[in-house]
Amino acid sequence: MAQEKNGAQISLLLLKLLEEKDMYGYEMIETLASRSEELFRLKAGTLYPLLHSMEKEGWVTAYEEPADGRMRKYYRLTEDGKHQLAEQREKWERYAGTIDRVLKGGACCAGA
Amino acid sequence: MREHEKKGELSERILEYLDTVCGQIRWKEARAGVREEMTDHILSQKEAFLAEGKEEAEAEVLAVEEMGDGLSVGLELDRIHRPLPQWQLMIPVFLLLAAGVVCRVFVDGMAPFSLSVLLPVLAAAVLFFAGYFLDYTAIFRRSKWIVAAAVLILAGTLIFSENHLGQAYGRIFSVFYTASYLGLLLPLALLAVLALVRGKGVRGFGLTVAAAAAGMIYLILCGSFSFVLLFAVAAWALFWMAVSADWFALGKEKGRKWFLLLTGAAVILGVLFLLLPGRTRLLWAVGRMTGDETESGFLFSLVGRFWQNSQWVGHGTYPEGNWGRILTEVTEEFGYSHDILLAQLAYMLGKAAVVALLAVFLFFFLWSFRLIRRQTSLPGRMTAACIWLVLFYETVVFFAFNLGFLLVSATALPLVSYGNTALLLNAFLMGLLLSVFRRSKEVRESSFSVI
Repeated sequence: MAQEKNGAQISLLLLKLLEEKDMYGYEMIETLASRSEELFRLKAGTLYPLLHSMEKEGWVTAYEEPADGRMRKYYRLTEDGKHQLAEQREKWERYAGTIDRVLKGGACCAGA
Repeated sequence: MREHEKKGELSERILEYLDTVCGQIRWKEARAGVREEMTDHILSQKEAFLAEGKEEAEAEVLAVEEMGDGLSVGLELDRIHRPLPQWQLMIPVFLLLAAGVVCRVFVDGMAPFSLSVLLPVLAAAVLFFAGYFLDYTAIFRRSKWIVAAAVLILAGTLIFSENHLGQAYGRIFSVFYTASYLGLLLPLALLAVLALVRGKGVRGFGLTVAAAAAGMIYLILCGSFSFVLLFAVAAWALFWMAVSADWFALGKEKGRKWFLLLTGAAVILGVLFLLLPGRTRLLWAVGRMTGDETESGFLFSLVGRFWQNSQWVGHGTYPEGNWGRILTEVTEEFGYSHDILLAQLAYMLGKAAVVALLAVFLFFFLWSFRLIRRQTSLPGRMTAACIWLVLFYETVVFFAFNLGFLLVSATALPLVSYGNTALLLNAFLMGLLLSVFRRSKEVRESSFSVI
């Protein structure tokens, strides 16, 4: 369950990155690491199964372009992916808000 | 990736890691894409470590370590990379094959377990699975061979065919087949031509037009206007898709302009073909729907009588007089061409059987159309659209013909009507269509590179 939650959170972050521009796997790892001050430095072994699942779901689509003398696979957010991002974002905000309220003493004591 | 491996740029360590990951993926066709992506990642990571000032060997060790455990990565990827079996389309395919058997038994009065009923169905099923498991990207990768084979086969069938009543027939040993049925495969040959001329500009566009024209002339010589129209529709759609994606690298605007000119020229030529010489083709087709019921209008009247005397469920009734005798002879003694199979089916089993068949076809075409729109690779989309159009055209024309619209002759109702040539070719085409869908997540641009 915890692992599933973790996967959902990472896929939310990946969808967010792809909302800004098309990216390839290595670029995503580096961007995520730098934006999270190294808190989220994904292993390639974690990233690619997630990306490929997202591709299978139709949330992202992939295309190839030559770079540095080799073919590079770029990912692009699809319309389905945009909906998914909005949905996951809303879930996350609800989840984080609930945790926050509990930490602050629960709904009964909010503002007390 | 293959280039790097060929050049020996990848060390043993990296190759071993890639082998471990890809070795876990059971679907072989998914491996190349994963391998290419992993290679790019490792090399990018290695370059980053080198830029940080690390030694070559250390950078490589660290880059591979950063990837994570190869075995578990591979197992995880194996779980994701599976062919998409397309059960939703396989079910209608087998329902249609079964409908073909029902027609042979109830319309043609054949024994259900006789060899002449079971053998063609079995052969069709084998060809369906041959198409299903075939890697359709071969149409692009092996395009040179396909074009060469198509030229040889078409020339051969023209030279050696025998002409009966204006139709060309080929012969393999003692088995005759209608040469125009090769028209079902011609759009795929045109696709192979397109693969050869990608990015070749005006020359590529011109060569494709020449190939399409050659296909048309072949089918005209075979004597089937219906197949000429079928090929024209498929070729037109392929051209449109190619030009919209700037396939020939002419520039989209220029490509579209040329395409419109080509369409105009094709329409004018088509009209001239119908009207000349002496409007005989057009008059013959119109005569089938307006002529006297005992002469040229016989087929139209026969179809009409079948429907008029059909019930919704169960065997139709025999009308009084001459037509009662004709319907008895056709249904109980002599049989009739499968071109009016649906009208006969409605009469023998009821209109509900035809409606059920229509529903299966509708589901098949709507579902596959939805999948075509979802194809991310252009060559995949073109292949699927081209096959879909061939099957759709055949079905629409067949249904229209059986409802009394006789201007365009029926070719075949995929998997349901017999001639065996059409049955086998259509089964193969349906399998190939599903092959596009089952591989849709794995094909990459390089999957289509001409060898």
